[in-house]
Amino acid sequence: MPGMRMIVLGALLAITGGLTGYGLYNRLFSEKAVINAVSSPIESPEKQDRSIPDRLPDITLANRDGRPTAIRSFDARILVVNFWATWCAPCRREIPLLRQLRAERGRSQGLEIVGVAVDFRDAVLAYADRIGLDYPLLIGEEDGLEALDAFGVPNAFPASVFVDREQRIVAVKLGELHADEAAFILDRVHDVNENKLDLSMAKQQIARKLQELASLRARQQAEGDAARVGSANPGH
Amino acid sequence: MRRLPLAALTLALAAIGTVAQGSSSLIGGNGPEQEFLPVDEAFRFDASATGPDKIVLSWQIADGYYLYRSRLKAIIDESSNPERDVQLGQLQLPRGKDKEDEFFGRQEVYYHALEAGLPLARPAGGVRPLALAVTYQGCADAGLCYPPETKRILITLPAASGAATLPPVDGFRSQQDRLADVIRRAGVAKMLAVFFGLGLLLAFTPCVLPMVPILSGIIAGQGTRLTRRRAFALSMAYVLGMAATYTLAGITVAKAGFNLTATFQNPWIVGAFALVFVALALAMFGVYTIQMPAGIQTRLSRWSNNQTSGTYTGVAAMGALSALIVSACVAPPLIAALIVIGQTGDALRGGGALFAMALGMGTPLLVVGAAGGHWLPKAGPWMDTVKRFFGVLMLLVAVWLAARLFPARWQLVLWAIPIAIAAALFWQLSSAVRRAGWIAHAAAIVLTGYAGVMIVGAARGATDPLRPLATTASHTPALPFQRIKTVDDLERAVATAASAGKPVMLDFYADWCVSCIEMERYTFTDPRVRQALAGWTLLQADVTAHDGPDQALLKHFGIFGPPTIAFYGPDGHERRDYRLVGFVKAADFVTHLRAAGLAPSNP
Repeated sequence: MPGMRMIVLGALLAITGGLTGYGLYNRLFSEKAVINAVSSPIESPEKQDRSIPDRLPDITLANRDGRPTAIRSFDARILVVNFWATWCAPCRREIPLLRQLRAERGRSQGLEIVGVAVDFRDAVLAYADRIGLDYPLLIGEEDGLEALDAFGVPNAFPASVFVDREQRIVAVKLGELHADEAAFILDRVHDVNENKLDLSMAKQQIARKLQELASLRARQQAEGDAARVGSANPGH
Repeated sequence: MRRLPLAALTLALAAIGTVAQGSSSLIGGNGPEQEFLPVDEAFRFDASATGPDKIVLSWQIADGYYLYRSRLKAIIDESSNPERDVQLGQLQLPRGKDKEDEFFGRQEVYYHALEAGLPLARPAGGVRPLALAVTYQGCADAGLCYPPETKRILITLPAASGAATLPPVDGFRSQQDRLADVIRRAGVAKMLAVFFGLGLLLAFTPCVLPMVPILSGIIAGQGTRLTRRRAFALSMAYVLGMAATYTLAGITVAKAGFNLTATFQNPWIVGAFALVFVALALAMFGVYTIQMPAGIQTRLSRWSNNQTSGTYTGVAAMGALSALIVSACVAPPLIAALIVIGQTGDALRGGGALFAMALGMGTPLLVVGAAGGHWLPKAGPWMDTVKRFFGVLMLLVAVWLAARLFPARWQLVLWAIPIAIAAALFWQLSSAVRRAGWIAHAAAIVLTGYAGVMIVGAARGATDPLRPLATTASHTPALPFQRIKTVDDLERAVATAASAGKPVMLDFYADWCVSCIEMERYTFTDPRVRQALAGWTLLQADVTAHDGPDQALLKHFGIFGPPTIAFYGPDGHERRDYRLVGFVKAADFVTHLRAAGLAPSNP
């Protein structure tokens, strides 16, 4: 039927024409066609370079009861200052290890742990109560960040600072602490305390060992990932 | 020890491949900051506007580092948005990798790279700056977590030729938003199929049913010369005319940004069409039964025959015009297509969706056309009866179109007219038909009674032709709406309500809007609805005039017109995802308020 064909053709032509015209209009005149998007940072807070001090810095933060407590007031032959936060999974993961170390080496080597939580006070107290955290805690929000600065530790969690009986900083471990690392570092600090090892030698040995353990762990993790078997966390 | 040079060295080593794992390139036990990347190197953040209403946030994530999906956030620095006229939508995030966390459960995380779209709603206007605060938080696989990092960035938004609205958030999606989603994202075949199906469903609503008598009338008008093929071809011409109108009108509406539906709902145009249908109906009757003055009758029937029997072009034109009338019920699929064409400028997809929908709506018409040609006998008295029947249907369409132009108390009188005519036809039929004459007789009695009841009902103030004696509705006073005209009026009223802690409902109204009138008559009179809305600030914007302030108001909301109802919480913020479009029954309306958190969950 020629009439019918004409209708169909006409309708199709009208639609095609309309769409083409619309597309052309869009392309030629729409502002959407040319977009000059410019973004620029308003501010990028310049962080100062930090370096780790030789000695335990003199900082004071509120303890669990809210009383200001100086970090130098802890009388210990080995002090581990552990920076953590409740929102940080690796921090939570290493807390059992810290408690275990304190139980094992507290009496024999004079080890004390101080957890410095850089977090909201309520959240820290609630979590500490829930897991029955038994070592001393200091809690800071803004002043917690200042404490990080004073230790020369970047704003990342967890971080563990190992201090000898003369309140000299022997080692800093950034990131989750593993049992093998902790054992090696604490043995060196104990040796320094016993005058069996020179401080600079201890620092060198620890640096080398941490590097070795980290690459081993990275390799295990890569193999573990490849074999799809869990996470490489032999210390836990 | 200096951090940056060593970090750079670490990166360089990683780059030349001597260090297998970037995250664990340990350098010294006493210099921890070199073991891990500083946060800005672990997560390199950037943002840019990809359009007047879209920002893309991107992160280059170092190997062995990841970002948590749940801790990504972007907010506007309101100092860069003094008018509060820019709103952010939800971050559009890709699917991340699941990470089991013994403390925080299953977490979705992103490795390597992340690109997140950030849609925004804004009014039309020139290039403007916008400051954002973007927060993110991530960790290294090796067991180090960075605290939430917040970056303040200044974005330059390109000029927008039209107002942009937000896409729906996950969770609640109104029907038209879900459909808009289908157009935007689904495959072409799926999209066309969905809209064809919707068209089919729409064909059985009161929106499209009026087309059946129109088409049948045209085909019946063909008389003895009608073959089945010709009937089908005529139907096809009609449906294609309708589909072409939808497609082109849809694109035009979206591009022009005004309410074409409203224009074609103009009382004069509606009135004219109603008269056409009356004329056609009279022609149907006049040729055989009703004796009109000869001159008028001849002219009418000649005109009618020119329209219906002659050319395919005429039929197609008829289809095209009917489409405009029928889109009166602002059907959700139509709005969805319009929203998408307007928002994305994707004329092909939007137009294609409308075309498929129109074909779906036309399918039953094709069936009627084809079957009509088959069923209708070549000649005989049977044909006369069918024609009269179509004449009545056309009168019903005319009344359906014209009723809204008359005051409520005249509605039933109008409806009574075609019913009374139908009754008269059946009286006549009962005497003409030998067999089964009693059926026609009974039908005539029933219809006469119905028409009589409607007249009585009209006298008593009833308005619903299906419930001619129900008059309770008309005694309930209208909701105490406060009229607003401009965007300023609106903002003042919302601010006043917010300071009093009241939620706000804004009803867009126009005289031509059938659904609005239905809402007023049936939904807003329901005691449940009135109870739920007690203590609200009720605003109504009458956009019948469609003048400057009206258009500005519609643009402010990014909508094409009524029937639309917007809700504001007691906080003064609009619940955009809970806008209502079209007629909603009382029970559904209350349920909707509950879903929006604006009504107590137990009645």
